Amino acid sequence: MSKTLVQEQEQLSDEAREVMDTVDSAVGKAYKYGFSTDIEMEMAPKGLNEDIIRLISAKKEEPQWMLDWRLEAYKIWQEMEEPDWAKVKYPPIDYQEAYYYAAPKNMKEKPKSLDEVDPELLRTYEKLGIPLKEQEVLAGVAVDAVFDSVSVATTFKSKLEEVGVIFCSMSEAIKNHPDLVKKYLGSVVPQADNFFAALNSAVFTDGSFVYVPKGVRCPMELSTYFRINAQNTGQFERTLIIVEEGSYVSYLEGCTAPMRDEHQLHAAVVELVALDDAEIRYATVQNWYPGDENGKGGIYNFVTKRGACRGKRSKISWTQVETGSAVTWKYPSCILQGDYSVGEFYSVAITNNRQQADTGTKMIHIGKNTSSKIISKGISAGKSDNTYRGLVKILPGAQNARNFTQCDSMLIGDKCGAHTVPYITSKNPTAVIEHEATTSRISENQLFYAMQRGLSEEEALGLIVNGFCKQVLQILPMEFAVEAQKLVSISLEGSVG
Amino acid sequence: MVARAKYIEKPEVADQFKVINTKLPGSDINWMQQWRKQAMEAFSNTGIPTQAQEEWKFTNLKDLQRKNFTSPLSDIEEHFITKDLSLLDQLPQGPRLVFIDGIYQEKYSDAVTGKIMVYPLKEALEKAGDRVKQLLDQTAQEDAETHPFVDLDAALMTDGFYVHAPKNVVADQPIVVLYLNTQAKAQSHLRVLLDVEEGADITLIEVHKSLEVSASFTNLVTNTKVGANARLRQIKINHNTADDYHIAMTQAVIEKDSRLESFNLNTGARISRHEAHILIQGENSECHWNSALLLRDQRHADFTARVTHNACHCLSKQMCKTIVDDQAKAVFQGKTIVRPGAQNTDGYQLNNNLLLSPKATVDTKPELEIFADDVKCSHGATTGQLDKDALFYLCSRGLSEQEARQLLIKAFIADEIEAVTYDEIKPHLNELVQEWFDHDDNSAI
Amino acid sequence: MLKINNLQVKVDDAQIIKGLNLHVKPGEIHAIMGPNGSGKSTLSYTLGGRDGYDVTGGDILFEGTSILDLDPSERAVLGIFLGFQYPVEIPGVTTMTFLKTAVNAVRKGRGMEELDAVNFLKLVRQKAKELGIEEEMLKRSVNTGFSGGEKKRNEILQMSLLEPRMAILDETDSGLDIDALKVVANGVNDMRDPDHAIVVITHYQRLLDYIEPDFVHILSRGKIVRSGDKALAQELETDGYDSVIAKAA
Repeated sequence: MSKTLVQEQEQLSDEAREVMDTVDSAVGKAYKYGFSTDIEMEMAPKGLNEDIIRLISAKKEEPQWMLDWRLEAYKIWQEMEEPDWAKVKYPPIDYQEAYYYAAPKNMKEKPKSLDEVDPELLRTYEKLGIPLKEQEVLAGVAVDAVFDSVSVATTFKSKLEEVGVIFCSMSEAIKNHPDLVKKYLGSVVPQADNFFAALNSAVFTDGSFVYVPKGVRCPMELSTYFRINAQNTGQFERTLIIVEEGSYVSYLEGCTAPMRDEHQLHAAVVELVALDDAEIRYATVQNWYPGDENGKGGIYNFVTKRGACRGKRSKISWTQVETGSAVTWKYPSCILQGDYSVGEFYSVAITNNRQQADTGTKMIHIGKNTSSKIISKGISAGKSDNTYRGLVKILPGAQNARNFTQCDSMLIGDKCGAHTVPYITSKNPTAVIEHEATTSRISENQLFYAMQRGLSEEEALGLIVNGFCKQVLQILPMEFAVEAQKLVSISLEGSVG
Repeated sequence: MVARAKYIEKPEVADQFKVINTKLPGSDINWMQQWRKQAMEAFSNTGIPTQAQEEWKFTNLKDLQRKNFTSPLSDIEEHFITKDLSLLDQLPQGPRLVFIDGIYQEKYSDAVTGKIMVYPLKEALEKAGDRVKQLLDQTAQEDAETHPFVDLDAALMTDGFYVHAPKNVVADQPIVVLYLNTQAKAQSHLRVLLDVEEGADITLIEVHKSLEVSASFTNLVTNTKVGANARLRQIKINHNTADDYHIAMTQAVIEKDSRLESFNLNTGARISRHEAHILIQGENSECHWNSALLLRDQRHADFTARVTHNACHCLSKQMCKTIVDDQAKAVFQGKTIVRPGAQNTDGYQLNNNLLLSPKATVDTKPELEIFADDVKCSHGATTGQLDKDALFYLCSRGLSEQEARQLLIKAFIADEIEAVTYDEIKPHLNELVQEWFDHDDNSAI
Repeated sequence: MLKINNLQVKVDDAQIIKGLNLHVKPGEIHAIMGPNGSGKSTLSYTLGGRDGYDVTGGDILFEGTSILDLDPSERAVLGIFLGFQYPVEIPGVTTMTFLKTAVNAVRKGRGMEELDAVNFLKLVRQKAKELGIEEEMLKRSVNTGFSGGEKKRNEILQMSLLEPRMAILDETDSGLDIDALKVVANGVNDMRDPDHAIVVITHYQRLLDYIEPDFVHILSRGKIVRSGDKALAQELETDGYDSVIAKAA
C-alpha cells in the first residue's frame, strides 16, 4: 500500500521539506491521480430531457415533491440563456451530449459498513489518498465519499447521531428528513438564481446534507471527497448545511478527478444557513484535472456557493484552495442579513499552463453592524489567466458595515495574466470599506538568489509561493493545510523558465 | 474668459538690482555677471507665482508680492544681541557660520576646517570659482519649468557659502550654520553650494532663527552634488516668526552608490516653503527627503519635493508628517518620477497629517509618474484627528487630557525623528518638539 | 582553489567576458576592480551559475574540477558563496525562515546533520549581533524594506552562516558609510584563513584600506588587464581607471 496522506503528514516537520516530499512523490508532470476505476457503470441514456429527470428521481426513490421541484427547475432552465460575462473562454457545452447519471452497479444496495463496500472501490479511494480506514485513526474525521453520483459509505454516523448532528448524503436526507430539506432547499440559491443553479436543481444527483441542532458544536471536521469518473458525466452535487442557534460546524470539501479528453462539467450548488450565533466554516481544496499543457481535457467547474447569515452574530467563512479544473467559475458568497453577522472569504487560486480562472466572492451587507473580510491570493503561471472578481455590496439599511479586502496576485513568468475586478457599491454612508491590491512577480532573480544559497529550484519556488499563500493556508483545518501546501507546489511544477 | 495670470510682476526688484549689482559678490567675475543678468531678465519676465500655477496651487503668495522689502545690502540697525547666538551652543560642535539678515558675519563664525573646505561665498568665488561654476551648471535642473525664486536668488544673492568635501574625506564634525533674521522688512537672498566628492561623508546642520520683530523675506537656494559612494546628511531647523517669509529650494544631483539624507523640522511662518528637485543619476543610490511640520495660529508650511529616478536600483523616500492646530495650513506636494529604464526603483512617499482643530487645513497631493515597469512605488496620505479611544484610554490611566493629547501627538512625530540618521542631533530635535508643546500650555484643549 | 582559464561569457548575444584568467589559492584575498561595464557582475553571476550567462569558451575549476555543469545550488553546496550587488527581495518569506532553509539545505548537501531550531536560533543571534543586525530585522521578509546598508550586512550574515570555502563579493561595499563598511570588512577578515579564499569585486579603493588584499586585478572590457598588489590599488586611486588601463594596453 502506498504511503498515505496521514503517514506523510506525521513525518513532516519542516515547511520546505513538506513541499519537497510532495515534489519527489509526484511523477514528473503527470497528474498523480490520473487513472480511472474499471468498475461497471450503470448509466442513463445520453442527453437531458424530462424523462431523464424522472429516471434520476426514480433511481433515487425520491418522493413526489422532490420530482416536482426538479421538473420546475428544468422548465426554468429551458427558458434561460447560458451566461457569458466571465473572462473565461471555453468551447460551447452540448448539454445533450452528456450522461446525467452514473452509478457503480454494485451500489444498488447501500453498504452498512465499510466491509460491505466493493473492495475495488476502496482501492480507488486509497489511491486517492483518502483511505477510510486511515481516516478512522485520524482524530475523528467523518468521510462521506461520493463516488460519482452515489454516496458510498458514511462513517462515524453514529458518533454524530449522539449529539444530534445529521451528516448524510442528500439522497438520504430527502428520504429521512424531508421537512428540513423542504424548509431550506433552494432558500439560499433558488432554482431561478442562475443558469447553472437551475440545471443543478433539475439534475443534481447527490451531495452532502448537514444539520446541527441548537447549541451543538460539531465534534469533528466533516469532509467529503468527490470524484468524477465516467466519461462525459457531469457532476451535479447539491449540498445543504444548516446550523441552528449557537452551533458550530467545520466542513471540508476536496476533489480529485482522472484524466479524460472530453471536458467534464461540474455545476454544483452549495447552500449554507446560519442562525443566531451560529458559525459555519466551509473549506474547499480543489484538485480537478486541469487539462494538459495545451489545455486539452480538464474539468469545467461552475459552482454556485452561497451562505446566508440569517441570524444575529452569525458567521460564515469560506476558505478555498483551487488548483485544478480547466475552467473555474465560482463566487462563494455571503448574505449578511443578521445584525452583527460576519462573512469571510480566504482564497488561493492557482492557474498554470492554459488554465483559466474567474473567481472571487460576493459580500452582501444587509443587516446592521455587519462585517466582511476578503483575502484573495491569485497565482498565475504558464500561459494561464487568473481573474479575481469581487463584489462588496452595502444596502441602504446596512448601518456601520465594515469590509476589508486584500487581493494579491503573483505572476510566475511573463506569459500569464492576473486581473482584478473589484466592485464596490455602497448605499449607506456609514460604511467603512478598505481595499488593498498588490501584484508581484516571482522573478528569475529571486530563484537564482535562493538557489545560490543552496536551495534547489523546487525548494525555492515552494518557499516563495508558500510565503505568499501563508495568510490563507493557515486558516485551513490543519490536516488539510498540509495537503493544500502540496497541491500548491505540484500545480506549479515546471512553471518557471 | 480671461485666463488667470500665472505671475504677478514685482518691478521694483529690477530697480533694486540695477542699484546694487556691482556690489554683489562676483561682480568682477564675467560669467557670474552674465549669469546674474540673465536671471534678472528671467525674473522680470515672470514675477511672483500665483495660485493659477499648478506648483503653487495651495500656497498664496499675494502678501509677499504686495509687501515692500528693503533692498538687499541696505544698512540695517543691529537688533540682535549676542545672547541670540547662544543657540549655537545647544548644537553639536563643529565649524560654524553665522549669517545675520543674509550677510556673513566673520566675527561670529569659526569656519576653520581641516580637509573639508568651507568658504563664505565671496571667498569661494575667489578661491574655487571654477568648481563653483561647475557645480551650478551640473545641478541646474533639466526641466523646462521656470523657477522665479531661483532666478530671483541668482540675480540678487548677497551671500552664502560653499562646502567642498574632497574625495574620500569623512568629516568627524558637522558643519553648523545659523541664519538670524532681525529685521521687519529685510530681504535676503542666499546661495548654498554643497560639493561632495566621491567617497566623502559630511553632515550639515542649518538653523533659521528669527527675532520676534522679524517679518523678513529669506530666499535660499542650495545647489548640491553628491558624488559616487558619498554621503550628505542635512538637518534644517526653522524657527521663523508668524510674519516671516521663507522660500527655500534645493536643486540636487546624486550619483551612483550615494546617499542624500535630509530632514527639516519646521514650525512654519507666514509663508514657508521647503522645496527640492532631486535628480538621481547613478545606480544604487538613496535619497531621503523628510520633514516634520508643527503649525499653529495662522502659520503655513509647504513641503514640495520632486525626485526623478534616472538610474536603476535606487531608493527614494519622501516622508512628511504634519501637526496642524488653530487655523494653520500645511501643504504636501510630493512627486516621484521614474524615467524609462530606471528599473528596480523603490519610490516611497508618505504624508501623515494630524488636525487638532476644526479650522486647521491640509492640502495634500502625492504624485507618481512612472515610465518603467519593474518598480515599486507607493504613496500614502492620511489626514485625521487624535484617536478618541486612545485619549480616553490614557485618561483612564490617570493622565490629564492635556497630557494624553501631548503623548499621542508626540508619538505621532516620534518615528519621524527616529528616522533621522544623524543620532547626535536627535536630543536637540526632541527638545525643540517639546518646546513647541510647552508653548501651547495655556491654550484650551 | 579557483582557477579560471581563458573564460568567455556571452549574455544576450553580447560577448562580455573575453578571455579571463584568474588563479586564487586557498588563504588568499583577491580584489577585482574595474570601471562600469567592465564585466564585474557578469563574472560573479557566471561563477554563481546563473541562467542566461553562457560560457562560450574556457573553463572554471573549483578545487580541481570544472563546475560549468553544476547548477547554482550545487555550487553552493560545494562551498561557493556569492554576495549579490543587489540582494533580492523575497516578500512573504521571513529572513529567519530563509536562513534556516538555506543553512540546512547546504548542510544536507554536504552530508552534515541539519541544525535544529534551538541551535540555529542561537547561532543566528550570535552572528547577527556581531554584525550589528537587529533581531527585529530577521523577522521581516528577506531584504524587504531593508536599506542598502542593511541588505549588504544581511549578505555578510548569510555568508558567515553558510560557511563557504570561497566567497565572491560583488560590490558589497558600494554605498556604505564608514561604520557599515567596517562591519563588512570585519566579516570578511574573519573568514581569512588557510582554508578559505575571498574574491572582492569593487569599484572603489576605500574598502581595501580595511581588507588587505593579496592581489589586485584590474578588469577592463571583459579581461584582466593588469595584476599587482595593494600598490596597484593606490595607483588607481591617484591616477584613475582610464590612465591605469591605458598603461596596460
